[in-house]
Amino acid sequence: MNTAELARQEAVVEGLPEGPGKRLHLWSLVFELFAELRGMAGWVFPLLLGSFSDRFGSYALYGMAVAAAFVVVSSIGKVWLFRYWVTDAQLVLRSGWLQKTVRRIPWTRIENLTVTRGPAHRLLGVAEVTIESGGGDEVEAAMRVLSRRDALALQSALGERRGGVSAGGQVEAAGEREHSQTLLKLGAGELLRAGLISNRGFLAIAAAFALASQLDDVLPFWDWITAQPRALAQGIGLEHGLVFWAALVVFIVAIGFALMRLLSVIWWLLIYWNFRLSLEGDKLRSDYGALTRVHASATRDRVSKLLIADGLGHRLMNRVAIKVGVAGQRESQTEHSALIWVAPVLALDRVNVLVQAVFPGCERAGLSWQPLHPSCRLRVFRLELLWLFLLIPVALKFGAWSLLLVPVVCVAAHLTARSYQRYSAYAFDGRFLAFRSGIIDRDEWLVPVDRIESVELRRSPGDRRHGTARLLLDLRSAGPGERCEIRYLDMNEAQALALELRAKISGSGHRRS
Amino acid sequence: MTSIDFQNVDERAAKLWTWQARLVLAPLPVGLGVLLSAWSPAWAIAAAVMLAAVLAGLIGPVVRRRYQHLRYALNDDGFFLRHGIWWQSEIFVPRDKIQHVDVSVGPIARRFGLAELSFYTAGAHVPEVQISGLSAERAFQLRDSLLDARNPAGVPGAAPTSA
Repeated sequence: MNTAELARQEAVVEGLPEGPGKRLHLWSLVFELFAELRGMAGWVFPLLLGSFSDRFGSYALYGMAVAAAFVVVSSIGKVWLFRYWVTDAQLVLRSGWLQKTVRRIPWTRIENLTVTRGPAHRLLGVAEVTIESGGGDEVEAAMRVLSRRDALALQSALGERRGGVSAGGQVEAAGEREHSQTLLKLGAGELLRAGLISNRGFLAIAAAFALASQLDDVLPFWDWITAQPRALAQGIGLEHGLVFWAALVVFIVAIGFALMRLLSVIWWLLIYWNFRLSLEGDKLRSDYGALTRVHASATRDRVSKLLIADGLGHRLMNRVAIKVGVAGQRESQTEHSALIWVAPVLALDRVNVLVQAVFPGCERAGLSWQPLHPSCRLRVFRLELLWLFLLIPVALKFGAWSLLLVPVVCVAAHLTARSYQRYSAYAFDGRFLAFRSGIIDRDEWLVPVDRIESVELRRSPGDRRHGTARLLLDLRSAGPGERCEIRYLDMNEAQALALELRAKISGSGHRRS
Repeated sequence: MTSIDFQNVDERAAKLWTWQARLVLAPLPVGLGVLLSAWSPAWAIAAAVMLAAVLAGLIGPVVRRRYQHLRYALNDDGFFLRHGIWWQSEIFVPRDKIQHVDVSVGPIARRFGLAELSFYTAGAHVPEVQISGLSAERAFQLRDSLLDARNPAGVPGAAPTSA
């Protein structure tokens, strides 16, 4: 029996589709090697340190040589043995040598297919494809790497098959793909604005200042930064008194602030360069990035939560940010997988249109918002007063006069609680549940009822005292942090709402394949 | 929605939890005794015995209240669970949303003929509902009932297969 016949019989036993299947791109070897090395860094590093030791140096070197050989062989094996087949109903992946794994992923079960192209990928004309499905923590499959054409073919294959599969499982005629409709495009001006609003760069500046103070002996950073103001102060006849130092502090803060904004703007321009959100049939798709170009897509029925966030900067510029939670999205790869951003920055007057595009039939403007229980004001006030306890040690250190801050904190806590109570509210129109809350940074989320997985009503001792309850909703999306929570609900309202939600979700009845 | 008849878990659960609590808390008086023995062995023994007595006195009522507060119900819509003494919670998971169901039996629970039922939805990494103290027969019965409703024809292979 010749080799080809043997391979064919083996394929039949394994239940593989006809044909030789497609392979990874040759450059995969390089990417796989890098990935393996990165994964092994944790234990190769101690070996590397050990190699400098007189006593264990040679053993460590042998260890590293064995590890290197293992990595090379395993990378070659992985790349060589990987095959995939695109069939009408499934994507079939085969990998492994001693333990062969054949994975069949029905197109309908694929939640997200992400094509990522970093600078190295683009240089070599390849792309990395990640496939995620519902349930479980891990990525269903990662194809590292395919040629750009194969990656895009896979993406369009998914679009055609999933978009075209009707309830009976029949594939509708191809070529009926709807035209892509652009929902949002972000130009440089809008990204500049987003950069100015956001606080990215704050950490970088803080780290830079910390580093500068540590390197003072080597780099006379502070001398350099104070030289100009000193010269200026002398020029206008000021001594190095209180006024000088106050001016210097203002100067440094201003420089820090300006640098922070500059970094933030650069970050936004690099990450979201040429951001485009579009709708292709029922699929939302976003493409962005100057260095790493991200192409993320998800069908609208996988979107389980829409989050509208605004901070002080957003409100000053009449902007909000909109994120969505997509089923199958994993917290560990939020940067590159799935559709995180629907609109990193968006003008207020376009919010409702975009919400409509993500959740057809959702009338956000028509929602009737219900206030929370009146006790929430007192309870938020008490929580805010916890700051007082932090003030007491400070007061002891700086002297009794700092206790004057106590009334200031009380007033601030009162204002905070009032603004929380005034803004926070929930709304339910039978199809969508919405909740908004916050003080300075405010969030509003919208959830389609049929994507709620479970409903929980929780009462703490405080809730029982005030006659309130907390409603927790688990959604078809990411990890535990993605739960939706409505606090300080009146007990009767909470029970009625929970009852209605239970009836809706147990009746929504569609079963996942 | 159909009516909800809540029921308690198996009576043997209280015994199981008492044993579990004893095992978990036993190191506390021992540790206290060891700590104080450097100072005064007599006081160390007295303190350890007192702590052990207080804990032993507390375990009973707490376990009883936990038993009274843990109630569950299964109807056509889904699974209901009420639990918690101070932080009380009532959770509802519709049948349709249950992805898979686990029944696990620990070494101590096995001696009491008890099992733990957990089920998962597509939402969380952690089990949506975990209910311990069910008799093993009841746990398997609940599991079958939940799975049967999801897959009445008993067709295998709803999930992708791995070879």
